[in-house]
Amino acid sequence: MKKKDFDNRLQNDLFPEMPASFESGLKKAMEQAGVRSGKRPTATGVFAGAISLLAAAACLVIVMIGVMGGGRSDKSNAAAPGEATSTPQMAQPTPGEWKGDTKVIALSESFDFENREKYEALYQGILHYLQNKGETEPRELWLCAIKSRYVAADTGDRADGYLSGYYVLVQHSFGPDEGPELYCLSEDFEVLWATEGSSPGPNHAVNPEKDNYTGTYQGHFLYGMAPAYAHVTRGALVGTNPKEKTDIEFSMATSLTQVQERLEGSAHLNLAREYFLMTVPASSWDSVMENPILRFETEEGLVDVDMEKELPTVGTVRNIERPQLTPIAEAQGVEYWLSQNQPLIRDFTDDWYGEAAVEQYAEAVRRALLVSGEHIQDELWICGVSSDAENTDGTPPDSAYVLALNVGDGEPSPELFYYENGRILWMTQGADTERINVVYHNGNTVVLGKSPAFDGEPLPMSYGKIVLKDGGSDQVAPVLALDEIRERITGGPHYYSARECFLWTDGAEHEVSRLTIAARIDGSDREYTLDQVNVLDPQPVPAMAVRSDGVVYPGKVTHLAHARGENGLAADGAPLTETLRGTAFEEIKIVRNRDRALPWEILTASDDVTADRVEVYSENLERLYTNAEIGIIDELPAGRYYLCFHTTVVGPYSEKIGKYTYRTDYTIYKAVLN
Amino acid sequence: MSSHENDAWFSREIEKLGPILFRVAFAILRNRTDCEDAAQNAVLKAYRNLGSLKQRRYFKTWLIQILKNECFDMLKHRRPTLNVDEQGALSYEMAVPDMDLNRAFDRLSPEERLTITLYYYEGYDTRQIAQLTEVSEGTVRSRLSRGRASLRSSLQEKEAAQ
Repeated sequence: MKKKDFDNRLQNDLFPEMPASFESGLKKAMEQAGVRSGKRPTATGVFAGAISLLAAAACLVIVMIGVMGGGRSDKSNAAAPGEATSTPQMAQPTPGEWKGDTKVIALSESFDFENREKYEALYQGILHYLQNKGETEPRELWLCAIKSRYVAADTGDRADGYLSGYYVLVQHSFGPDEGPELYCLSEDFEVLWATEGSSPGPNHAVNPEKDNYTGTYQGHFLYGMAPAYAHVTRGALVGTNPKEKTDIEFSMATSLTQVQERLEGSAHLNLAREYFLMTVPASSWDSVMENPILRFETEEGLVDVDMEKELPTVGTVRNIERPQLTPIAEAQGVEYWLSQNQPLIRDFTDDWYGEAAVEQYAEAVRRALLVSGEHIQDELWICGVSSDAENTDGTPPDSAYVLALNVGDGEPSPELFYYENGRILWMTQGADTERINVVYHNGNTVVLGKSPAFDGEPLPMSYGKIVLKDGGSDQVAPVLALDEIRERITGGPHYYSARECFLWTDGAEHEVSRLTIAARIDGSDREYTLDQVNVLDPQPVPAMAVRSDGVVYPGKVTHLAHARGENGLAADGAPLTETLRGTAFEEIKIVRNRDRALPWEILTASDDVTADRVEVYSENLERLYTNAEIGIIDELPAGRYYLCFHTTVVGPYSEKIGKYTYRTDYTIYKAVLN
Repeated sequence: MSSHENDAWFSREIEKLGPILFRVAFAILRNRTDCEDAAQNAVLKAYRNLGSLKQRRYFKTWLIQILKNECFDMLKHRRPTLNVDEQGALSYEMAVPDMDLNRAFDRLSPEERLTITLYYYEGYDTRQIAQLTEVSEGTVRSRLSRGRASLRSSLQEKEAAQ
């Protein structure tokens, strides 16, 4: 069964219609409870006055738009036929879908509703961007128009380009001067840049992207809404320089007729003109902009908007900083970003305990690397996981050995991380590619290594045996299977280093003698022996504090210093003054709520913060609890604490991996518990 | 807000949330009569404890949580009624759009069914579901993942048998 079919079935065919008896049962319950009849307000009685006021206010908005739109020609301010007589009401535009607290409304059939996953990823990407900007969730999100975005081919000819993303006109605030903003999205629906400050009329923005990054076609954009003439059928930007006459036609991005139907009766009707989006090559811009005319073809005839007289708004482009990723290879591991500007996680564990486990371990590894002062590379590979522990409730084990590779230059070798209850307790540094690496910890022996290579070619291990000095031996199995990886990273610079990794653990201390592997070459097994042993000290990972933007700092604070109010020193002596001020040290009051039926509320001066996991530190920043249920706050004696809340945000859907991406945020607060 | 306005608001919200309440209850209990009982109890409890709800924007989540507790209490203390049709197959006392899918859905645990419903039908993300169901987000993802896998496998088996 295809995934799409399955998803469709799951999303549409699971539940019957709500039976009438259920509905009447609810009414009966309300009667029993003594709820007085709550009919919907109508335009009669006490509500009539309110409706009149709202209608008057809406009319006033229209008048204000007329006055404030003085930059436009008289023609453009004229009401469309039918519009002048229609009374705007406060009804919600339909249709639309509630997504959390936001109603998402697509105004163009050009959005690929058939491809539900893409559509969902699109608006999730936009909401995600708004959230990252620190904006509150919009009440409504209008997806006004969409256009494919092409990357120019080497020829420089746009016609030779290939699809690399989308331009989307998005409106999420609806004041009289608000217009849709232009968003540029990647193929994976990540917002690359967006304009700010557009107005309802024509707008102009310059593509901030340079050819050296995405190779995106560089040029100018004209976008926005056509003047309020009904039935605009066509438009063009007409340059009037007789020597270099440039007529660039553009098609209307969305049809007014459709929008009118969707927004009939909406207070936003006056904004629902036709949208256009046009790109002008940088090379043509100057000539086009000599006496430029925006010409609209309407049923009433041609309407020209003189752009010299009515200068379009130049949107302020907000460019999104992205790391310059150098693709290491065409890898196909399960991949996702835990957070923006965080490494790409590749999961090679073959769904060992599900994506949640890998995400959990990867995040702990990332934080451990940061705290240990390691430079986080673009990619973090989770090569293997091993655990004897098992939770009965199906959740990932609380303790595990994690073999992870912070992919960098040169010959990389995975390091071993020991995970326990939400954090890495120790890690190895200096695991060797050519030798067997041995770690002794709490009476256990942990061995990791790689199979040998032959003439630069990896040897596929058909079986392996570890031999101990006390005479014992045991079979080892690869945790990173070369046959799979080989295909994933063909052509990558790590090809030769991608030998097979193995991990072996035992509950007693042993001296390791050698590793013997058999590799199948030319149809027969040939034995190879690796006998160089590299004994590694497990490096303890210090405690940590985490800033609200997700950056991790060593945080085992030994004493508090006073600079700019409340700040501290980290374990390594670095001042936290610059790193943990502002929200990080914002003091909040936790209102304890023992009614578990209510979600926890964390009251701050600014936004409400909700979270599901919490780390608790004493006032001296000593760690008391790691990855605890938020209800642990109930158990704490009254006093002052530092609470680090974990929140996870679902990011855009990744078409490539068929999964949603996740972003985990950490916010630390100084809290007074009453 | 006056008491009358309060009642009017409550009544409107319940009316609006009816289909959601039904889906949540049906996901857990799989039986129309039990769903009705649970939802009615939840509405009664919600109205009586409305004063403890500090912010109305959490009403939906709060009510779903009350209903969820009610449903699980019912599962714990009272054997839910299972209706069987003449052929001995499970019957839901009402027409379901996809019988195979529903039978596969029955095989999941109530927790998995609730998680899938909240995720696919009510638009909650995994973090919100974790809060609502009072488990870790990892557990929510495991439930989603295992639930989906199990459903898919049951449906594939069914298709293969046909």
